[in-house]
Amino acid sequence: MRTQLMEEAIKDGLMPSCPIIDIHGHWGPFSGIYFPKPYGDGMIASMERSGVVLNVFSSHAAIFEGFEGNLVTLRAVREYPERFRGYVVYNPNEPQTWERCRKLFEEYEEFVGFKIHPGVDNYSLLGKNYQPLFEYAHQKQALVLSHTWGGDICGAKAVRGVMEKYPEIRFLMGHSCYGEWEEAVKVAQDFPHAYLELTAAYAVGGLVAYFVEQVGAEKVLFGTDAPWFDPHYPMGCVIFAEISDEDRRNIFYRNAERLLGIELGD
Amino acid sequence: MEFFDCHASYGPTYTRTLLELPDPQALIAQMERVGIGKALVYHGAAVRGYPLEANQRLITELAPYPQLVPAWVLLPPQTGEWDLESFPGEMKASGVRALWAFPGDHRYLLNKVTMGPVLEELVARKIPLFLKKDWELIYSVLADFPELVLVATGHGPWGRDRYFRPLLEQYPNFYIDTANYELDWGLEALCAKYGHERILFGTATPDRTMGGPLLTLLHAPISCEAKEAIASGNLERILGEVKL
Repeated sequence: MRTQLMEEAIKDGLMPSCPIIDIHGHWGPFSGIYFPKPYGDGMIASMERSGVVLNVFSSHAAIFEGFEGNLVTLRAVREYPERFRGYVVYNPNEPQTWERCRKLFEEYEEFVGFKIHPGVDNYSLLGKNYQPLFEYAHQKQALVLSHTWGGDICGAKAVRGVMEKYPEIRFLMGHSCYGEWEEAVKVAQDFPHAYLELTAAYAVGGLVAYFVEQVGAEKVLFGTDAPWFDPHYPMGCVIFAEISDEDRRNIFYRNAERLLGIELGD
Repeated sequence: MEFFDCHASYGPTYTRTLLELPDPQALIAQMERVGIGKALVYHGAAVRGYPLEANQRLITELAPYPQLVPAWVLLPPQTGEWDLESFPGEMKASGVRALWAFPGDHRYLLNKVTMGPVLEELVARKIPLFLKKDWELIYSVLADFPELVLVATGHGPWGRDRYFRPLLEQYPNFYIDTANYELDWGLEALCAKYGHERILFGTATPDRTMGGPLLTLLHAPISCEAKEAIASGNLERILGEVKL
């Protein structure tokens, strides 16, 4: 049986009664992939045709080229303040930049949390250079989006290690520890502030319904890696998952609203 | 819009999976839920199980379901398991017009030495061969059989345009499916440069979900004509050109 949100998404490609917050975005070109439209206008056009009202992102420059890339993020958010918020990217291989990262987060409201990528940086989540960030985020109950993927560097076991020590971090498991589904679910069950983030994982057959069944839709968030993925793709994975429209609303925007401290309304 | 999924299967996968589709009815239920009317289907047991037995089971099990079109999994001919003389007739008798190959799983080399006579038959009869992503393999096969109708499937969500665009430019019978093609503005850019004729709607179900590729195509910023061709027209054309 088709639900209201299914009907809306099929008919128009967006859901007037259900805005979307993309909690896992990026910005700009990237050496490894061809992106047709990696900047603001193209990204906003994608957002508009799919009903994504807000994208919280880290620029590729910040992830791949160092601290100064955070200023690309800052400029982009300032250019489109209605549509974007930023994550400050911290690279543990450059621990001397931590204080500057912290100041960026504290001084500029354009930033709403931190993004880390243990995979790109080849640095374990449990490594010592992450500790200042985690200690700070724990104290401030700040949002941290980490790339997480099956394996030692940033798999579920490492996330568990972080959460055991710093349980107050609002920790988004980006990609939900891809492949370690059961273990990621256990982390989300065991720690009130650990969340499953769906980017790329959404496409795995049956996974969205499995997550909702195991941890509840309140612990699952929507992301697209924009400008990597067409928002309609992840949206379709959630729309046609065997869950309720209430679950979908939680995933699409309510959980993000709560974590970001904003209110979009239905 | 009519959707004809070029890339679906059911049956045992023999691995941990979150979406079990043990029989054709389960696959049809998924299709109906999303709005896909027709699918080209291979038997899951043909990959990890024994292909030739699973191929036959497929024909029996799909018989009541005309919306599920059978596709077989082939093997090399040297062992006598795949009969070079009889397979076109058997395909015709069984209503099979497409083949998959899983050379890694079935431990053979999909090259001219091993599969030359089989691939020559496929070329002559315009039988499409579906392969999972392995770009070096695909480049190598097409270099030896440039007229082969070859569909590269499941080519990864992280944008493989740099791999497959050269093939689109070089080989007129090379196709891609959309199962993993998530690239933002990807379909628009691809159609603008290469047209829509060599893109096939696919889902890779049950490994992946049907909803993602469907909603992406349904609302892609391309013409209605292009959407309809990708959704079903291109695959119908390819299968209609097969000579058995």
